[in-house]
Amino acid sequence: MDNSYNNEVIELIKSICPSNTSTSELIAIISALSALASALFAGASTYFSRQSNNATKMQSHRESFDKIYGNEFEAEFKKFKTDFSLISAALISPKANKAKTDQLVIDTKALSIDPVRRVCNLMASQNDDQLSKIVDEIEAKFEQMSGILALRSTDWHKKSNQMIEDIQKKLVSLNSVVVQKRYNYVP
Amino acid sequence: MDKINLQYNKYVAGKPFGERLRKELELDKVDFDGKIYEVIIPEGFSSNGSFIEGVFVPSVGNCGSRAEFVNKYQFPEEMSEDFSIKLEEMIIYALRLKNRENHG
Repeated sequence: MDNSYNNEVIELIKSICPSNTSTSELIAIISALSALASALFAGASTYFSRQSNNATKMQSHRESFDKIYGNEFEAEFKKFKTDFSLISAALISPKANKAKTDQLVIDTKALSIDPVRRVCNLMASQNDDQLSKIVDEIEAKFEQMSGILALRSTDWHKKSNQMIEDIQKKLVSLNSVVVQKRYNYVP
Repeated sequence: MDKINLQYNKYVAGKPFGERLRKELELDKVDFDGKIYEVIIPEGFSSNGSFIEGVFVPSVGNCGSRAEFVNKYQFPEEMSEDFSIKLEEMIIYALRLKNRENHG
């Protein structure tokens, strides 16, 4: 710190002390303030260093999560969503004939959520069935949808599209739970 | 059944261009008229995703759900896979926007 800065600080301290404050008292005040500043600086350094260590540790936990579960989940989830979007896109038009919906029944049955389920089972801890519940719900909606398409009863188009929207919402929930697990993961 | 025609028989792109067509077709009124429309896609028509968003994103929100939207606006069976995937992506995006608005 340069002398002009020191002088400014001393003048500032003088200005806020009573005018009859002696030189020795001023020195004592300055020493006390200096010690306080050092303590604050040390405290802040420790705090930020701890924060930085925690952030590094969390980052390392997330990297471990990705290696064990995250990358595989992302790949399987993405593949499932892409295959599913081909089915849902084919159901936008209500003018699909019987042959087309029959084909969609086959495609729906062939689209298995099992690879996603397997990774979810791996990342679920004991007494935690949140992920498998959502996967079960998605599977049940798929079965309902293929039933609707196979029967082609009244409102088959509207009903199958309601199922699609429900499945898409469940997929968003599933992904959110996995993101939360990744965030909280401790190896 | 009433019809709405996407009008262009060439490649069209861009959200503002889609929004212009939406205005010409008065879709802000059509969305609420309770009728069902057949969507006519002229031969040679193709577009990017932003154009489709400009035309239909508010309609998905106004219809309230995917099922109501695809029931009101009946797209032809003979759509290209490329176009139907873009429509699919637009519907998902529109529902996410609607969901976000509903949750503040």
